[in-house]
Amino acid sequence: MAMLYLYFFFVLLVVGAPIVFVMLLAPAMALVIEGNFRFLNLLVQRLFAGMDSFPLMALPFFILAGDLMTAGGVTQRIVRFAETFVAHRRAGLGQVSVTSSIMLAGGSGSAVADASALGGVMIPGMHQAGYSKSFSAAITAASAVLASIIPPSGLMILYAFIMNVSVAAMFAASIVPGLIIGFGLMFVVAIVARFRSFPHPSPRASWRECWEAGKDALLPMLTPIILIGGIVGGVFTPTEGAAVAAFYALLLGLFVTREIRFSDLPDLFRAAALRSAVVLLLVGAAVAFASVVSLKGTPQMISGFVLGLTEDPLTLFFCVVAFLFVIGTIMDAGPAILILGPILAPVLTGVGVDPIHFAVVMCIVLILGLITPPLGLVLFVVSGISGERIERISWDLIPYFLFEVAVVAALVYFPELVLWLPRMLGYV
Amino acid sequence: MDAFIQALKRVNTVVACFCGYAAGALLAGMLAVVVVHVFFRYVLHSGFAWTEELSRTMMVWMGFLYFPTAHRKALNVSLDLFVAPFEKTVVHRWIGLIIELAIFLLLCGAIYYSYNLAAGAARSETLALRIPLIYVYAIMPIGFALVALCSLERLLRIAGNLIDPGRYEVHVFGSSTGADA
Repeated sequence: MAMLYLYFFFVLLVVGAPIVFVMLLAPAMALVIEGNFRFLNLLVQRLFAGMDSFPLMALPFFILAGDLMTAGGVTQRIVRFAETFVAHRRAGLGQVSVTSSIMLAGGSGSAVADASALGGVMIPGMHQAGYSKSFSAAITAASAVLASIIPPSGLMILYAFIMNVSVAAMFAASIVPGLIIGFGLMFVVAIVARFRSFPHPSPRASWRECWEAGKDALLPMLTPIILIGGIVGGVFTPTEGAAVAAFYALLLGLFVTREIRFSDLPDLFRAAALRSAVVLLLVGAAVAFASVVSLKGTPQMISGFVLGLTEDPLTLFFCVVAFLFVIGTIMDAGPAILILGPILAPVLTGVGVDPIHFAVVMCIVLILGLITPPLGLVLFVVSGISGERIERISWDLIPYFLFEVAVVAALVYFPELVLWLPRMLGYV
Repeated sequence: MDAFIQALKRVNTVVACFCGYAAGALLAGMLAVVVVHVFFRYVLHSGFAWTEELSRTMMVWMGFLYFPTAHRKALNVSLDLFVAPFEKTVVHRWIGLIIELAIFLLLCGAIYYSYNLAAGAARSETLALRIPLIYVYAIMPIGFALVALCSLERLLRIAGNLIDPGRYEVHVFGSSTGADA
């Protein structure tokens, strides 16, 4: 009877009900059947409390900042700058795609948004230069995940909020894994280029060309410095940092790049408000759901079951990672974090895994789910832009995805890869 | 039933349009308030107590104002992987109808409980702004009622399609790409 809400939850999830309603309906139905009507009040209260949070406000501001940067023409400027560094190498435009993703990641917080912005510039450009559509789409997808790993990351803010851990600590902890994946992808592109034929790279850019491109990209590139430096350095809170970044992106688009007109603003703000509202409601519902999860003692029950199988932290961690990879293939990362975070984190921290270590690994695994079929949102985006079938893109994605999986295994096995920087900064 | 669905559609369209502009304006307001807060705190070294409370309230209002649009346009993320193979079958339409009916009933319950919560807070005030708490909580019953109207429109459309397949345009299940990662 205590787990009745979980049965309803899985049935509603499988029949395709919107997840925001699943997280309210399942506990409500169970509470009605159990006759616990007074707890229905609690659901509504927790839904409101879940949305009424200052730290959570970082999310709409990051969404707005990303939209303003895209509309302000930041993507093109960063791509031009990246070209001057790496376009002369083998599979040069593949390297440009990864380098641009690393640079853009510090200002955006969404892999899907980055895939859309960068893919819109890079995929047609690469195809025109003679690269296959599937390779162009695959490398764009593989590198777009960096936007959700390198801070600021909307998904990490979600996790930090729902599990009450420090956003700054998570941001600090995800910098090293993000850079390992970013630079590692460049290395994998170089290896793939030795075995496949790609168009001849463009000639090395002159110092003058580097200077011109650098000048254009300088102001947009300050966004990640303001954001990450300010938040991780403890100068301001993530919400304040996100607001400053959004305001800076607004000024940049209006007065520096001049690609945003005042008449564009209502539509830009409405679009960002709509996308924010969808996430905020999901968070509110997740907080309501999490209160029932906790009320029913579900983490303790699952913990007891899992610890009956193994008590070795490393084996347990790898099993959970494998489970999350499976979940990531069928569920969007945001809801998966909101639903599974409160259930799995207590199990892992209970056997001695550091909460920040688990948080970062869980987020990265679910983010990688964005590039795996059948439900990979980033895959859908690059497939839509390139016009290439998902199967062919997935095939070209294999070496990059396998590398990213290997990095996750290394992160699990060597916790210091995650915890070194936050420890240096005094967060852990 | 046609006339009733058309009337609901007109109401929901007007509401969605108004709520969209209001939510956009609230986001702009939130940004202005937090930027002012940052400027005063870090540049002038003096802060306001009300900025955090005001911006939080604006965010909650923004979320609830766009709730009807998100539901009407089926933007709320869902796992439609397992029901997708049944698309355009009677089973699919029946599942859609049952889900929408459950959502409508949930929303009716949510209106009742959130109204009680708001009414119960009528005599309390917020900590910083000192405004009646009912103004903060009022968005919940309003928001749920507006979503319930959209849900009713969707429910009638899905039911209409059960009788006469393809008659009404409606996206039965939520989007698998609703929440932005």
